[in-house]
Amino acid sequence: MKFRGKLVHIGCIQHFTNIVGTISKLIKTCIMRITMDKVFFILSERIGDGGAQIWCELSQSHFFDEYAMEGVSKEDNEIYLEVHPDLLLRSLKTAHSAKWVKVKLTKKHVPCLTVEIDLPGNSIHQRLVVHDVPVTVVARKLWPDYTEPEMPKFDVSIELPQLKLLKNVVDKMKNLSNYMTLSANANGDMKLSVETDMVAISTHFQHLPNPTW
Amino acid sequence: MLSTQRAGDDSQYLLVAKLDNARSVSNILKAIHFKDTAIIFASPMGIKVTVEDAKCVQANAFIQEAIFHEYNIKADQLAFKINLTVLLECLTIFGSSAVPGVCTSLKMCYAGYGCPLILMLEEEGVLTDCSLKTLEPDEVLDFDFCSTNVVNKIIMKSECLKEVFSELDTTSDVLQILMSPDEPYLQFSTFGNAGSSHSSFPKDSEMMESFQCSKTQTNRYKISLLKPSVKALALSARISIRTDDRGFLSMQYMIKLEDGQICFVEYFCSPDEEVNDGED
Repeated sequence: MKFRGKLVHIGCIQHFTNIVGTISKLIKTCIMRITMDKVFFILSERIGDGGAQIWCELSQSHFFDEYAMEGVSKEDNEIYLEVHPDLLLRSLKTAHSAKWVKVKLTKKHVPCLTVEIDLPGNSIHQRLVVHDVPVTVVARKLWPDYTEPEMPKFDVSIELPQLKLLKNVVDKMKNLSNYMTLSANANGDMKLSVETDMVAISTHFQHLPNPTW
Repeated sequence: MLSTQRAGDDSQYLLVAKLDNARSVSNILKAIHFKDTAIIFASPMGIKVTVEDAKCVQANAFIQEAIFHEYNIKADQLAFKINLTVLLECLTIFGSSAVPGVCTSLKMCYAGYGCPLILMLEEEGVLTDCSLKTLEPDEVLDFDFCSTNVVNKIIMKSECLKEVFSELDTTSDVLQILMSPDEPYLQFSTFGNAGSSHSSFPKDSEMMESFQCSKTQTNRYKISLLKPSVKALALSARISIRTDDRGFLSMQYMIKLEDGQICFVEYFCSPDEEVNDGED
C-alpha cells in the first residue's frame, strides 16, 4: 500500500485545510478513503435508526500537484484509513503559509499519515516541519460498511441561501432557543423559526432554487 | 402563532415606526445594555429606553422621531417592559457586525397594552419577523435632576475620557469625581488594591468645550454601577458631566449615527452613601 501526494498552491493547501477543519468540527474519527482519482472523508454512524452520515468526495487533481497511490491489491486499488481529523488539522494548520505540503502513508511504529511542510524561512536554509499523524488501516472486509449513502426519498430538495447570512441567523437563534423549526417547499421558500415563551422569530428566504435529481 | 406580517393592516397598531438602518437602534441600545430588562416609552417625540440597576443608576437612550423615516403613534404615551437582551438579538438577527453597503431595514409595531412588540427586519430580500412579549412596566426612578440645581457642568470631547473609563481600576469600590472652579478642575480617582490613581483634566484643555463649575464638589460613585457607561462613552463624540447639590451625577453622551444623525444617551447615578462628605 502506498500513498503520496503533494499540495503546492497555497489556495489548494488552505482549501484542503478548511475541509479537514469542517470535518473535524463534526466528528472525532472518520474514514479517509484514497483512490486513483479521489480522496473521500466518510462517516457512517450506526446508532439505531438515526445517526449522522457524512460523505465528502474530493477530486484529487483539484488539490494535489503530485499524486500517486497503490491500493491493497490490483483488484481493490484503494486504501481505507481511520483517521482523527483534528490531529490532521493541527498539522495542516502549520502550513498556512507553506511553500508545499506532502502527505504520505508511512509506517513508523504504527501506520501514519506523515505530513511534511516546507515553510518559508531565509533564502539559504529550508525549514521543514514533519508531523506523523497515527492512523489505522481498515481491513478490506469492512469496506462495504462505507459505501456511498443512498439518496433518501425526499419531499423537498432546496438549495441553501447565502451561507454567511444563514449562519448569522442561526447563530442568533441559537442564543434564544435550543430548538429550531426548519421548513421548505418546492416553490423556493425556506423558513427558519424559533419560539420561546418570550419571543417568536421567523426568517423567510425566498426564490431559492429547487434542484432536480 | 405568528403569521407573516406584511404591509397592509397597520391600523391595528398604536405605534408604527420604520427605519432604514436597524443598526442605528441596536448600537444605541447596546450602550445601555447592562441589565436584561428595559422599559420602553413611546410618545410623539420618539422612543426612550430605560435600564436601571440597584435603584442607584439609570440609563436612558433617546431615539427621537426624526431618526425614523416613518413614525406614527396614536397615543400620548405608551410604556411597556421588554427583555432587552432578546430585543438586541432580534435587531441583530442578520449579524452583529456591519457589512459595507448592506443595510437592514426595520419596522416596529405595537398594538397596545398586553400586545407583543412586533419587529420586521429585512436584509437583501430576506425577511425576519419577531414577536416579543411585553410586560407590565415597572416604575422608573425619577432622579429629579433639574437644571436649576446643577452645581457643576462640564462638556468635553469623549476621546480623552475613553482611556480613563476603560482602564478604571475595578479593585476600587468607587470612582471619585472632583469638579472645581480651582485646580485640579476635573479629576477622576480610584482607590484599589495597588494604590490610588488620579486622572486630571485642566479647564483650559482643548478637550474642554464648556467648563461651568461654581463650587468644589467631590463625590464617590460605586464603580460597578458606572462601568457599563463605558459602552455609551465609546460610541460618543461628546459628553456632558453634571452634578447637582445632592451629588447626583448626570452624564449625557452625544452619539453620531452612521448616517450622521445625532442621538443621546444619559446615565444618572446617585452618590455612594457610605462615604461621608468632607472625607478625602
